[in-house]
Amino acid sequence: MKKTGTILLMIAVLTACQRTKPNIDDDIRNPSNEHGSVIDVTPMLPDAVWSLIEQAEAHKKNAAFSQAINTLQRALRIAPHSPLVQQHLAEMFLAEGQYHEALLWAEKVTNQGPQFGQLCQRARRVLSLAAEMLGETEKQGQALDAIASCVQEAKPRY
Amino acid sequence: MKQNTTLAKKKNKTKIRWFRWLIKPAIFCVGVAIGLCSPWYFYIQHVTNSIIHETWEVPSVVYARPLEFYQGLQLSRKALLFELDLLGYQQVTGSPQLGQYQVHNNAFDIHSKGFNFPDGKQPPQRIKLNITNSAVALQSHEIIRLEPKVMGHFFSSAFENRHPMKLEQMPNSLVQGIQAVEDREFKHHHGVDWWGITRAMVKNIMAGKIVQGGSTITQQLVKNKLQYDQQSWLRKLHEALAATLIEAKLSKKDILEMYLNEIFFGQDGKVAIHGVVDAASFYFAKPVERLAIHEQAVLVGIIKGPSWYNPIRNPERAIQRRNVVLKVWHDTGIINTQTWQTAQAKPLGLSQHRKLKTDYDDYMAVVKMQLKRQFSDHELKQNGLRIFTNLDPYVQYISNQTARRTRQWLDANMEAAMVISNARTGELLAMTGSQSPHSQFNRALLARRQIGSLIKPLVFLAALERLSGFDLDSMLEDKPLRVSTRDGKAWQPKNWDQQSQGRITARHALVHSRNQATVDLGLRLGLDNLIDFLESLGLNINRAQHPSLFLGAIELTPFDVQHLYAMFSTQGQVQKINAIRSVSDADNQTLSRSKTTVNHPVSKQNIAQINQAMHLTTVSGSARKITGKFALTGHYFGKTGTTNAGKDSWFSGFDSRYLATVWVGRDDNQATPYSGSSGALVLWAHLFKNL
Repeated sequence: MKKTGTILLMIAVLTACQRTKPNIDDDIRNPSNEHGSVIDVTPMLPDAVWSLIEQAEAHKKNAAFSQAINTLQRALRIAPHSPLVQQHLAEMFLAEGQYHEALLWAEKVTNQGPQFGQLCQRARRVLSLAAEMLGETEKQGQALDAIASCVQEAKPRY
Repeated sequence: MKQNTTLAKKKNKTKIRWFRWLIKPAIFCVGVAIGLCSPWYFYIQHVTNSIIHETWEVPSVVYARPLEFYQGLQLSRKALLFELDLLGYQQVTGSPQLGQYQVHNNAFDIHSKGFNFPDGKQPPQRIKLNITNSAVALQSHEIIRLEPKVMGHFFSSAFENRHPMKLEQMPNSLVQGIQAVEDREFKHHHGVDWWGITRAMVKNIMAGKIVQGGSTITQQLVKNKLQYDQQSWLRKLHEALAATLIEAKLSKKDILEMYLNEIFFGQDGKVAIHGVVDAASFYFAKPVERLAIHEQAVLVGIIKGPSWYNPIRNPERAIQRRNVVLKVWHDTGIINTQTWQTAQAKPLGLSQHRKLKTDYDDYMAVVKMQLKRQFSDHELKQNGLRIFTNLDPYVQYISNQTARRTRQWLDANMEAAMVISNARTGELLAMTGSQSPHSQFNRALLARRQIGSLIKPLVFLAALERLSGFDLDSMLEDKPLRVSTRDGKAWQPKNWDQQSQGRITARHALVHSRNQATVDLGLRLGLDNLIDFLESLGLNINRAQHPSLFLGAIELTPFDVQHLYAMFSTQGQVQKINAIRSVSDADNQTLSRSKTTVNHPVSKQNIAQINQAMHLTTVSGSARKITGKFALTGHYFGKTGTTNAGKDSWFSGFDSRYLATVWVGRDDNQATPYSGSSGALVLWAHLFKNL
């Protein structure tokens, strides 16, 4: 009887342990939460570039796309090969209706940027949208198909 | 009865005579009035209407790049001091006010002036930074910039510099101060101050000549617009009538705004300075809204006689006049006693930036060339566009200084040209078209010369791209060879040392610039294949080329060469060297910005292989003087080029920051004793030593 009670108590404790999440943020537990890929690439950039990206985003919120583009071009002078800055530029050009420029920048990110993760998907989405606006349906289709390749699915853990 | 009748007739006759005597002058007067005064009145009407409705021709302004501070920026102390002086900043020992800076060892405290950039307005701010090992450690911000230097204008034929500003944006003290000094009754009169004119007339009659004017601000505006050369009574009458008509048509505010934007403040060479905005910029290198009281007083003092009270040529006279103005302001209550006393004790405080003017003409030629594709002459000269360029004033200064010393290092007949761009972005930073500051011929942009061995990296790159199985470890034959040309003649290329090294690697051939091995490779590649490759890079090549093309028998300008070598320094990212960042209109709306260029259709790995060989060239190859004799300590890449008998000496090379192409040679295309490494490389090395 005592033995059975101990076993039941242990089962209860273990069940509680199994249900309790460790104190770790969801972002860290599952980096693929938003874009479905376990591999994501966030390039390292100087603080000045992050600051300019934030300023550009603030301009974007006010629909001041031209100012946002000028701000991102400042960032690009500091980090000319940064795919993140290039991607922001592509998105801003798309928002401003300059589809050819958006397409060029998105192509740069697609060709030279990360091949997995959020940035990879964003670049291909912008590419497909810009191609659609320019009537380049073949390029649009290829870009849409390529979005799936950005996802490196998590293997089941046992 | 008869007598009465006769008397009446006599009276009538007298009346008629009187009437005739009166009517004639009256008719004459009416005739004069109709014949002279009416046309005159209509003429004045026309003049006033044209003054009121005149649209100013506002010249476009060309700006250099703004100096942007951020953590880790490569910047020397010398370069920062140069930039601050160029922008008219004053060094002070105490806490810096607007437009001043304090420097203690390598710690700078700068109070910037603020600027309306295309991406938003930046207010004046304190910037605190340290420079350690030529790198910026920014303490006050993550990123911040100084205002850009004005490097030129696109003037109309009138050469007038003017940037209109709204009255509300001008300092109150200046707006009130001008009225107090020039026209105290401005708010009350109707264009003409009759009491003032009477007073002036009495004084002038007593003096026997015109010694005092009683002109109101409105009359002065008319006078400026009509641009009379001499004072005369008729002119005064013109002014008075036109001023009265203008007062009837415009509000006092509009008149004052027009006056402040129109008034003449002196000459900058052949350019006339009009309006308070440009006067503030010219004399104090500041926006007008940031002028201190004593500086405003200097400007107001100039109006009475822009030449006589010119603060640059006649500083003592200008100070006396300034103090008169300050006293008037104190007497009329515009400033209090303490401000008056403080302002009187100040020096003139003129900016010294005019003395540091460097020569931007060669760079401006590229700006004009690239702008002409998008903007008409009319738009550039009259629409007040703001053109933001990539010019780096310090790099331009060093480039000019290096070119000026060409004849100190080389022969007396040698000419030079230099182009410098950002090695990573392809932005054009500086251009020098001659060793002489007086030369009008921009060799960097216009002189087409054979490029010699500068073509070799392109030949080897073409082989990497198009010859399967070829890499820089492949073996080439550096031995005498005979090539039959299309016109049936034989061509026998030789090496610069008249030696042949036999079987060598392609890398060795490129690093040591072996001609025979390069032709061996070229023949394997094929002339048409090379031409096709060069055309894909944007060159326009004559298809009937001789095989000497393998050794650079093609004429290009230094600017063309810069485009080609930008492919190496940017790892294929940039196809075009750009002088212009963006163009905004007068309302700060961006009209145009530099276009994104597609990448070169060349493999990055292949470019990296050529870059590695070009690095070896600077260490152990034909350009080893860079790390040897000149002891430059960085990581460099480059290639020398020499044409027959040293007619052209070239070097194009880069590090992580700058790409520079240097040409030296004679204008008459005669032989020189210089090769690429003993001529152009000397200038290149001095340039990089000082950057």
